[in-house]
Amino acid sequence: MSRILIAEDEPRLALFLEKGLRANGFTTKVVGDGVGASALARDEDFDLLILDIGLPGKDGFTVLREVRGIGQRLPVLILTARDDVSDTVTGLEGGADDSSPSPSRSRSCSRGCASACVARGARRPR
Amino acid sequence: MNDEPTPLERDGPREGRRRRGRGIRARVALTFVVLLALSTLVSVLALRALLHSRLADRVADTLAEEHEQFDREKASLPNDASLEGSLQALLRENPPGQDEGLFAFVEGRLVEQTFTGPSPLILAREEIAALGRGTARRTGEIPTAIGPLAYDASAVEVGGERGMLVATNSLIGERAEVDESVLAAGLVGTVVATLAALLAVLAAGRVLQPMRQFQDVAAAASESNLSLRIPVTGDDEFNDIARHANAMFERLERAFGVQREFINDVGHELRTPITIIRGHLELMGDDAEDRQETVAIVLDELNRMTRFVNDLLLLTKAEAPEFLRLETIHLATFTEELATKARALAPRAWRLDCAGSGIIVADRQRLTQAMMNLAQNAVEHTKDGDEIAIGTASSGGEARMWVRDRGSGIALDAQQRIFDRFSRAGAGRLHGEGAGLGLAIVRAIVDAHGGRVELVSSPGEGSTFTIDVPSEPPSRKSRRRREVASPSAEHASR
Repeated sequence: MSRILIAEDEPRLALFLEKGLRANGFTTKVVGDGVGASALARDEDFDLLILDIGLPGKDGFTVLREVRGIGQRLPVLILTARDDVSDTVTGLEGGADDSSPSPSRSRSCSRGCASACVARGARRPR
Repeated sequence: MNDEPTPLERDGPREGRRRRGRGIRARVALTFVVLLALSTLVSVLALRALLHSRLADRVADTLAEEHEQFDREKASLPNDASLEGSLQALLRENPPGQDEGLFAFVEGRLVEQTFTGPSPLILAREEIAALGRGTARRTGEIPTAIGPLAYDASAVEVGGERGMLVATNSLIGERAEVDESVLAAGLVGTVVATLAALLAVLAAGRVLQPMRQFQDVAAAASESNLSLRIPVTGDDEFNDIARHANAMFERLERAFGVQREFINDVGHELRTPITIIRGHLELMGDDAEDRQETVAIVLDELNRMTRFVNDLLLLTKAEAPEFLRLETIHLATFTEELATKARALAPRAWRLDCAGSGIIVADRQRLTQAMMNLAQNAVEHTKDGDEIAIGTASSGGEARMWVRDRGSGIALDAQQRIFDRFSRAGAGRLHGEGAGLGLAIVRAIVDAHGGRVELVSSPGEGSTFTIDVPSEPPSRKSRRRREVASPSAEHASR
């Protein structure tokens, strides 16, 4: 069973992400601010972090840097609300594994999550 | 100058620009050349006329001189001297100057003549003979084949005999000399004028140099590069224009930036509800409860989008002159209404500080909306049970209204732009009213009333928003004039 941490401050966005991922057999946890996201990613064991950039407290980039800074190899999928290429580039430079322009296509999103988890799972012996 | 764009100029701004640039230079050069040529021509002709007139005066003086000479010598003549002898002696003793001639007549008969240059008798025999037959003094000019012949004829008398002494000057040699000088002056003038015209063309090029830079920048600006500036190098008129134009480019650039940002923000603000609606619809299951939940969420998001679009439209409308619907408002009852409406917003410890008295002329609905936006903003910065106070007061032709809270307060850097569109004092989407347009709408409404809105806030201690509006809004025209007169007033009121 793969566990996914959703860092997203808009509850209704998080709600359907959760719903879609659960329907596809994932276990999810939602956190609404950057500080909490950073702490959870550090302290608990997740197979994937879905990270919004515009988080209150700490923005997504900061969370990503912190997660990578402590050597976490947790795959990170960044949600960008904007199409800004600069956001995407900053995210990928910071160590994100993929960037999805808005989470609306939740089926393809969950497929992406699955493949990210599978890829890491294959590389990381459990 | 013909400013209508010719078909050629319409083909491309670059081509048209070059043509215009060269056109001014050519016109300046042509003007200089024509002016210099005209002034040279006029001065040469004037010089010639002046010199000729002086020459004529001098000749007249010399001719008169001959008679004075005769009169002086007549005094020393012996008593028995005849007129003919005396005249012959005079002519012999006084050789004529250049182109001069002297003709002595006794009783209409030519008795002696001397001359140099072309013979006046060949040129004008009849006229001179006629002068010799005269009895009174006559001066003037006789036109001849080679030019005018100046004459001075006067009566002479010795021992009862009467005669005439006619002095002439053909002026030909003298005039030739004058014309030669004038020609030389004309040549010098032409050379100097040509050099001056060349220098003028160069100077025109130099003077127009900033103009060309201006053209380059303006052309680049029209091709959507607004970041270029015209170099300012001094204090003359061109640099003045450059400074004004640079300020204009700066404002344009800022305006475009603001517009781009605005559209970006609008897109972002609309994308979140769209994403939520799409996501929930895509995942909607078949059971009734799920459907009901989804429909509720979708409707709520659609309502939010509607409010947002209405806010945007309101902000646009607020700039139109017919935005306000003015009516007479009793401040006391208005304050009561505000307090009642505010209480319905959220459970807070609502207070009424004080209610002003008297009446104001304003748009009741818009003012209410502004105050409710402020109250909503206060709600968002406080928790359940926190104190929020509303109050109004009137003094000196102004009504003051405020909303005061003891909430989280607003950071100093956020205070600067809190009335701008989409400038939320915190990241993330606000729940409830807004997309960060609430305070922008407050300012738009207050501006339309010709008033000011001010914020006093310190983080951790709460905020007080104050609206001051005149009891009677100034007419739109005079308000605009004031805005133009002091563009900094807007900044000061932020």
